[in-house]
Amino acid sequence: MVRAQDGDQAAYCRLLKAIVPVIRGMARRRIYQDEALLEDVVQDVLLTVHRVRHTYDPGRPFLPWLSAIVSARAIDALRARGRRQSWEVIDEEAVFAHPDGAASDAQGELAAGQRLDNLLSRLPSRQRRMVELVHLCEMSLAEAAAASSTTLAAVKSVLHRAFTTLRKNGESGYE
Amino acid sequence: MNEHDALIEQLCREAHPVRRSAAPWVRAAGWMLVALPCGLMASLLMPRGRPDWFAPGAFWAELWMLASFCLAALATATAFALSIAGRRITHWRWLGGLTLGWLLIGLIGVTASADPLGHIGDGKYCYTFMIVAGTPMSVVMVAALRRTRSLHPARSLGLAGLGIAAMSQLLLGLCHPVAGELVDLTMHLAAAITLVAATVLGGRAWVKI
Repeated sequence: MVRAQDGDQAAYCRLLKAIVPVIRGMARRRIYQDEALLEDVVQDVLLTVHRVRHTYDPGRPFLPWLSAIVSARAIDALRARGRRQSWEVIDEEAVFAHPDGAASDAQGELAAGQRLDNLLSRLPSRQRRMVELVHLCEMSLAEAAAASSTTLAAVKSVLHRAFTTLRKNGESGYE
Repeated sequence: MNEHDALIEQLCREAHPVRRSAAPWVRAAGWMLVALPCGLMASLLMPRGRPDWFAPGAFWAELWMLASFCLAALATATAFALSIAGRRITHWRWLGGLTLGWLLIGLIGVTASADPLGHIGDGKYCYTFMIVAGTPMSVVMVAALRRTRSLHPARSLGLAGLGIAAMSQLLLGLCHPVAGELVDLTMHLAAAITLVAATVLGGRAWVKI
């Protein structure tokens, strides 16, 4: 910690990695059966240690300093959870009765994007790049030829082969 | 790979050399050196009287000022110590005893007055004086505590507010009649409570980690 205070980033990195299980063990004494909250506390403690690292006195032991931070952060997290639980009402029926249209649209877009990525990933790299340039980046054939340092005829040929491969994969509705 | 490794990598990249915080007593002394002149300058805005140091009850007034200084020093040093994680405070009894003694000396000073009870409305000047003198000291205290911040901001600021109130009382003692009245003393206590509350409420957002 002393070396970390002096700006030794490697020593600081080793220290933080080494104290993660220690922090988890200390926090587990206060937080039971809630692994997500426990990991939140670990992360919060790491941030706090970083923010107040100048308050560590090299003449004193490290663990009581760390333990006080863990204890305070764990109590803060438990209080925050208590506040949330006392104010929030979880009504699953109401959630399903009022679906969020925007969320389903976003999910649809995400699914289409993933399908496209999946299709393109099956193409050889040259064909994939050409499809991306012409159809995703909306370049003209001449611009795509210039961007990939090739001829217009070669671009047309590569694109033709790319679409043949895509059709073979049974995805004729790509366009 | 640990799920916190990304955060650790980022924190390590930001790990520049830091200046270690000074000992609480040093920080308390530094605060006094800055805050006392600020409080004194602010108190010049108020009309000032001159106490008669040879009047009956002057001894208790002087003792009250001495107790105010000791209480201010101990409370602010404790506030600074409490702001450091893992620092154990072993002198809570001393602090409690000194606060009680401070109140008792104030009450004994009242008995030396020709009119121990006083009248409704007495002490308005004292209240205003302590608030005017204490406000800049409170700002300096919040700035000083912000250097280390605190895991327990309410406790640190509460003790800091007590120190500020005691220091304002010390400044007030320099221009206050040596013999007070009960109503006047109540206003002193009201000003002290106001300063503690204002320091806690105003400084909490600045001092918490």
